[in-house]
Amino acid sequence: MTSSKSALLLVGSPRGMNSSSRRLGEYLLEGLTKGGYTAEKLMLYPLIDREQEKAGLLESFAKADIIILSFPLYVDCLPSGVIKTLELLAEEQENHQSDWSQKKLVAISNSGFPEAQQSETALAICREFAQETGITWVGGLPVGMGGAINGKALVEAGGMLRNVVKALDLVVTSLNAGSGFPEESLRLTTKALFPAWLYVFFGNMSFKQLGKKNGLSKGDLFHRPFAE
Amino acid sequence: MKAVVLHGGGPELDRFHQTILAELASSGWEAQGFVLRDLRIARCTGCFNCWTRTPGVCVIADEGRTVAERVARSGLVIYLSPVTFGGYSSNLKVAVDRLIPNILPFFTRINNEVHHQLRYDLQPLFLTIGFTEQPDTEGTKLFRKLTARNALNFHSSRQHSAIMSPTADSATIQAELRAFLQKGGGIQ
Repeated sequence: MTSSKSALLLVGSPRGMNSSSRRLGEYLLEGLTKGGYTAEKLMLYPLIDREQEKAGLLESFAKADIIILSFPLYVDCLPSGVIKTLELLAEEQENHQSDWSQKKLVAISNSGFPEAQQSETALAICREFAQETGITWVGGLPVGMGGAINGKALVEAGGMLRNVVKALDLVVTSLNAGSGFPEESLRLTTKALFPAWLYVFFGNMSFKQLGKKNGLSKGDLFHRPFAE
Repeated sequence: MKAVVLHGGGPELDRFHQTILAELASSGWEAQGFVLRDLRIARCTGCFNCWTRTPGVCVIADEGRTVAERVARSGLVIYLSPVTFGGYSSNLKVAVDRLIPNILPFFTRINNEVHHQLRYDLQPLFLTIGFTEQPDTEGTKLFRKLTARNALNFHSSRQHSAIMSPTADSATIQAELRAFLQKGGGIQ
């Protein structure tokens, strides 16, 4: 029997298939598939800048009952392509005076900072979008330490992400049951797994290593091309 | 002292952009404005090259680089934008995302929170002006919060967010700018 419930994952990372945003969003999407949803996934980059693909986005959005918006934190909020997507959708809703109250939106924002809370503003913007367009806001999950995922499947990324996986499992269960956003999932993703100073130490070391791979010394990385 | 204005709105906000540039010039600032909708600025691809391959410079050779250069050299940075779901418009955000080369990849801690280190010594004054017909909503509170968070990440010496109607008198924006500049605190 064909499911009448449909879930749409919108991946808002410029890194597309290699992104942590895709991995996080897919985990939720797979959970919804097991719960009887038909699933569709769209990569907003570069779709949002291709006129011929925007119609497809709007069509997929129109059919979806649950929308998962998964994106990386860029300068404290959403990347420009994701904002462009929300602007397009809001314009569509306004032009047709569509009733989107039966649609549900859940968002995941991931960042390289150890404090998942740094995504709060970005998720609040998603909530504001839902409110302005009449979509039912389910909730937003902030995920920190995105470097630990780095585009890998969550099960490969290992023990450091066990709380993230637990949180996503709770969200899947709630969505499949049609109940509210599980607050416990927020507690899990905002809980520090190890001290921030240690994350800073290893994070800084990894950037030096990346620079070295590209033939740059540590000093080179401090280059000031626009200094006067 | 250099100032830069990033205009992320439509033609209805052009007169505010012009008023700000004129006011800055008359206050002794060397001001440059960018009407972002008219510029060729590609979206950030998240490649990290500006941090680990071509430090401080985006690999995309377009006007995004020009904007980033000007921002890096400015002691006063002003954003104009319609309040868009409580945040910046996509036009403004395309340019803002391309400012990432202006900070270092390396982390530091500010108020017990991890942020990126400054690449340059300038800690600019930062002013955002959000336009909306509904001035006192969750959206405008969020816009102010976003400004404060950005100011923290760009290590701004002082920040403010003003909200006004797109049909406001040009004198209103002039007054906001004067009040911000006169508050003191200076550039560090």
